[in-house]
Amino acid sequence: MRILLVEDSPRLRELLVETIHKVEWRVDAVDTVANAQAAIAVAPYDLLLVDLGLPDGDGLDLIRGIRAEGQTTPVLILTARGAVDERITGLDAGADDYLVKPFNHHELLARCRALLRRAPAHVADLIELGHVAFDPTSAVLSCAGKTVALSPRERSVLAVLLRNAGSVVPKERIEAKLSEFGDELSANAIELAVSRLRRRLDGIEAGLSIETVRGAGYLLRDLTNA
Amino acid sequence: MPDQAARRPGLVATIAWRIVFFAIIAMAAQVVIVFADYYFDNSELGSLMIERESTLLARGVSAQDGRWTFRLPEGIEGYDPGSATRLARIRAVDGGIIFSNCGTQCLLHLLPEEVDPPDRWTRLLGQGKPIAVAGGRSVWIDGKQIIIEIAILDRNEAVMWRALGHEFADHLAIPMLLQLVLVLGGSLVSTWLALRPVKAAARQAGSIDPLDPEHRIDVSEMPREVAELGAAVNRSLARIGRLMRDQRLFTTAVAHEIRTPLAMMQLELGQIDSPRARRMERDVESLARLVGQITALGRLEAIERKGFQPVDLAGLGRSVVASVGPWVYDHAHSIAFCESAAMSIQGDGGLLEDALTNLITNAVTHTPAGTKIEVCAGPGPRIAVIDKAGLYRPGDCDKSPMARAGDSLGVGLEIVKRIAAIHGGTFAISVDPAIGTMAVLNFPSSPTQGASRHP
Repeated sequence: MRILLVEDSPRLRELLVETIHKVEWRVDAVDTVANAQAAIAVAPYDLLLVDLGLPDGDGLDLIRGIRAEGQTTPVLILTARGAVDERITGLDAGADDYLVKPFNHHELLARCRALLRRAPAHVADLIELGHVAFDPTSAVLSCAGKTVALSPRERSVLAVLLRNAGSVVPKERIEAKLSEFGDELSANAIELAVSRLRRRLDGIEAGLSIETVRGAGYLLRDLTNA
Repeated sequence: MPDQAARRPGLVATIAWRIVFFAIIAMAAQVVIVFADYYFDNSELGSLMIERESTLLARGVSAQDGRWTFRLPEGIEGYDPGSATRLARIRAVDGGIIFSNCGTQCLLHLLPEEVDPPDRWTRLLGQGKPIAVAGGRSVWIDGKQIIIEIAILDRNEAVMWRALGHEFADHLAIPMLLQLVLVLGGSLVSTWLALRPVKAAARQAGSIDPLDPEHRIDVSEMPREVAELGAAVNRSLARIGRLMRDQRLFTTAVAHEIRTPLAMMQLELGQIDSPRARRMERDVESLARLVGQITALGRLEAIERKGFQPVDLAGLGRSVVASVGPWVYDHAHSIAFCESAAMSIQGDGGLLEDALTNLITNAVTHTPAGTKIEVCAGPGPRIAVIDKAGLYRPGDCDKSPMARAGDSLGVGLEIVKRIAAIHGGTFAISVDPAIGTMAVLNFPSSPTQGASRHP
């Protein structure tokens, strides 16, 4: 995993690099828009961490530039601009997520992992969360080296939740995924599938919890990080 | 202030009262001058008396079948036959006597019958008051001329006052009233017309949106004096607009300068494996939250209403619940969203999101683990955050709900209150010991429904 960090504060840059190194990801740290553009031009990155207020320009311009070139590398904005409208501006510019300073290393790494899981470049990779590993290609779930049997509907629900772990996934999005299988969905099909999946995960002590956020969707939580 | 202004008399009413007041003074002065002028001029006063009395007596003369008849009109006294104080003789031009209450007295004070009298004549019979006067005039009745001659010898005060009263009424009171009505009406209309631009300017100033720094009073059609006032107000508005922009820049700068060191502190503490470091992390989090709220409060002062858009409260509530859901569960609470015929309002989606997030944060911070929090949109333009903690802590029921602010300063709830006020709405907290605390944001209905920046 290779990450580009664009941050102008030397001390914060140093701390972020230290945090990222602890999870054994590689990180290149630069302090200006120009240096970031030069780095992106010569090396492929899995994730960009971009501060907005940089000495030679705005991080938003850097993000707009790489999106204009058609690059799909996930971008996480790290900024002190915390207002909602500023967050919307950042996301509109092409960022995938927005982390307002101050934040702790758990928060930072969780956001990075979430973005990396969702990244198209990593679709074929193994998704590891809690005590389980899930192979999206083969749709096989394993826990402590043992394969866990799941129904096709449970597998597709789990795949959606794992890719969006730590976020509330609207029920409609899961319905759309299940519809891809041509299933006729009954009114409580999603609830039933989630309920079964929840029991299954509890049974294997997966270290995961599926919360029903009534009226909003479902939330998959990694209990091992809590 | 608007109520006090409404109670004050209007300029038109003030001017009307002043015109009436000064007109009454002017009229009174005029009456005194005219009265004095007549009263001390016996010759003029005598003529008026003869004129008035002859006019009254003429009313009693009529012609029937070619013959003159006379009957003393009602209200006329003192002309009885043989009267020694008031003599009257009415005769036709051919010499026929129509009425006479005097014999030899007439010969003494009136013109001889054989004399063809002038149209009007008056002769004072003595000096000073009471006035004794003789005189006569010719009067035309039914196309024929008659001559009325009168001599007022004694006890004539009533006659004098009647003549003066008639003169005052006919030649003073009526013209003065007419003049008053015209002057008053003209002045009021002129004042009202002159005040129209001022009223229009006041209306414009009253409808100025304090959250729109571009709003100005249109002075293009105002008279110069009012336009100068409007221009002064516009200069103040421009200054407020600049202050709002400066405030926004300042809060952004402050946020940046404080948040970055806080991020360093949190990351640094994260590298230290010690319970004391964890406690400091929590302190830094509290400090970060306070900084966030203070800068948010500063940002509210710089909000511009022109950026308001339709916001679907149901979409907003659902979006915020989804956004803060992970944080709520991480703090061992649960959250749900419900909707009941919620409406859209005209507002700033970001601010409303901040308000709702603040209320949820507040509910999580001040309730025990396991508490269910519910965000309910509707019915109507309303959204509420309810925590179902019940009466979770003894003594809490004695406190004002506002005391349960998300921080010691109550900044979080102050932000929510201001956001509600910016949207023309209200914010209220109520505690039901059996259920928990309910924080409700009520907004005015918006005519716009439908589209929203929130899904």
